[in-house]
Order: sequence, then C-alpha cells, then structure tokens
Amino acid sequence: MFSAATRTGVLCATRTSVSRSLATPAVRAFVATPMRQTEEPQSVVAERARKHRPVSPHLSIYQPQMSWVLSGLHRNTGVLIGGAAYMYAAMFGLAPAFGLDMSSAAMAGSLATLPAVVSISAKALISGCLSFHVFGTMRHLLWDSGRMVNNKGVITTGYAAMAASALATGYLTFF
Amino acid sequence: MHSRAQFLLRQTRAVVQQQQQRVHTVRPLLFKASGPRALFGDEVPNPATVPQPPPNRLHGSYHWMNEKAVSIISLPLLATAFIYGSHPINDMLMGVVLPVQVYMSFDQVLTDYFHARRWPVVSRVLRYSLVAMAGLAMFGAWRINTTDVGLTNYCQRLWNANKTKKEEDKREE
Repeated sequence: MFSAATRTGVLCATRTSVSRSLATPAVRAFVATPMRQTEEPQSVVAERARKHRPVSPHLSIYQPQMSWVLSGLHRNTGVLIGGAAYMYAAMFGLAPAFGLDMSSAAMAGSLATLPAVVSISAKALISGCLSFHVFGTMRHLLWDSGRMVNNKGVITTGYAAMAASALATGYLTFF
Repeated sequence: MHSRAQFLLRQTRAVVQQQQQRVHTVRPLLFKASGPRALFGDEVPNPATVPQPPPNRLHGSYHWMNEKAVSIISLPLLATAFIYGSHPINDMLMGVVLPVQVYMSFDQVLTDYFHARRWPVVSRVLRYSLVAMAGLAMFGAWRINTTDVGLTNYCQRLWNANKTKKEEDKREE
C-alpha cells in the first residue's frame, strides 16, 4: 500500500541488511498547509506570526543574582508598602464620607481581636517590606554618591542591607 | 582595517541619506500594534520628523535631584519617628515628604512599564489616578495628624494593639 509512496533506488541501496530488516516502510506524512488564497501584505503576515510565536524563557532561566533579585525586591517592596500606605491614608481621609470610624482607638480595638498568627505574620510582612526598602534606599543613595559601584560593592552592600533588614524585621515584629 | 573603515563610511553615508529623504520599506513591526502603527504605519520613521516632547525644566537632572532630595530627607524623618517617637513637626513633615516620595517612585514605575509612547491611554489614566491618590494620601495624613493622635502614635497604637490588650488583661488579673 505504501510502496507507491516510498522512494526506491538510491536510498534503499545504501541501507545495510540489518537496517533493512528493521526498517519499517517509509510513510510520507502529508501535513496540509493553508493555501495562500490572497496576497496578504507583509504586515498582516508578520502580526499573525507574532501572535502565534512562543516566548523564549527569560526570567525562568536567568540565574538569580544579587543585582537583579535585590533590585526587583526593592521595587516590589516599595510598591507594596507605598501602595498600601496610599490606600490606607486615602481611606482615612475619606472615612467620614463613608461613615467609617478609623480613629486609632477603634482600629486598635479591632486589631487586638486578631489571632496571634495573623497579627505576627502581618507585622512580619509589613516590617520586612518597609525595612528592606529603607535599607535599599540607603544602598541606592550610597551608589548615587559614587561609592561601591562595582560587582563587589553590589554584593557587599546587598548582604549588609539584607542583614540589617532581617534584624529590623525581627525586632519590629516581636518587640 | 581598510574594509571596516569603508563599511563604516558607507553606513554613515546611508544614515545621512536616510535623514534627507523618507525611506519606504515594508517590514514586520517590532512593537505592539496600537501605538507605533497609529503613528508610523509601515514606514521607517524619519528621525527629523519624529515629534519630540517640549523641553521642560523639571525633566532631566532637576527631576533626579528632587528624587534624591526627597529620599535623603525621608531617612532622618523615619529615624526620628522610630527612635525618638512622636513629634508634631516630624509627623507633619512625614505627611508631606513620604507621599511625595511614593508619588515619584510610582511615576518611575509607570514610566518603566506603561510609557506614554506605547500606552497612550493607559498611562494617562494611571498618571491621573496616581496624582489623585497622592493628593488623597496627603489629605489623609494631614487628617491623622490633626483630628487624630498623629502619624507616629497612630502607627504605634495599631502596631502594638494586641500587646496593649495583653498588658490590660494582665493588669486586670
């Protein structure tokens, strides 16, 4: 059935006896590609290709390094803390319009009823983000003054910032 | 090398030629379809006719200086709040400086991820909402400082809420 589709001659002649006995008859798989009905402009073709093109791995394969991990952490902690502070302060400003009581007494009363696990983890998250961002700010200001702008400086200041923020987080969460 | 110099010379001559006349080529677009297609279509943009933003004093090195000034000022403010405690002047300054710093940082984040060139509508929406949020945050901080106990004391009481309750329980026992 498939013999008509196989190419005989040169290809078969080069096979050895072993491979011939093991070889299955060559099956030509016909993959149907769409015919170009109309002459599409290159931009349309390119846009379609771009839509179906897979993305090469980037963040998943780049080795974690002090430079970009701490930089990303600095930005993310800043966004978290700054965004949360903005929203809280804005809500406090608009509280009377919504009839909310966000005074210190009311909020302290409601926060006191939280279970210890929730309060400690929330405090650890907030203090961790804030302290790392503050020490990262000091690190950036150090670089802006021109000091320690080299690989060794990045690593040293990075470890110093992480250690300082770990100590500060521990102190603020538990004391 | 002789051929390298000739190649470079040919490149610069090509650039000069390109600047003098429009070059019509059809090429696959490298950016998302919305922004550049609306501006440039299928043509390679002529650098001489690309619209440049008007020069503004606050962009450039003055902006950088303001960012660094705000960051530097915020450090002793936070140190005072954490080490000394509550002080009305410190609280008022924090209520102004910290929102401004957060505003400038979010401005940088928006410039990085939603630059106006590629996201004309989204960036405008986000920038206006950022200004609104910054204003509201400053208003909220001012309200905490005036109608309530002040920023530092407020944060302290919320932070130590479960601790004070425990101390109250112990005292009652």
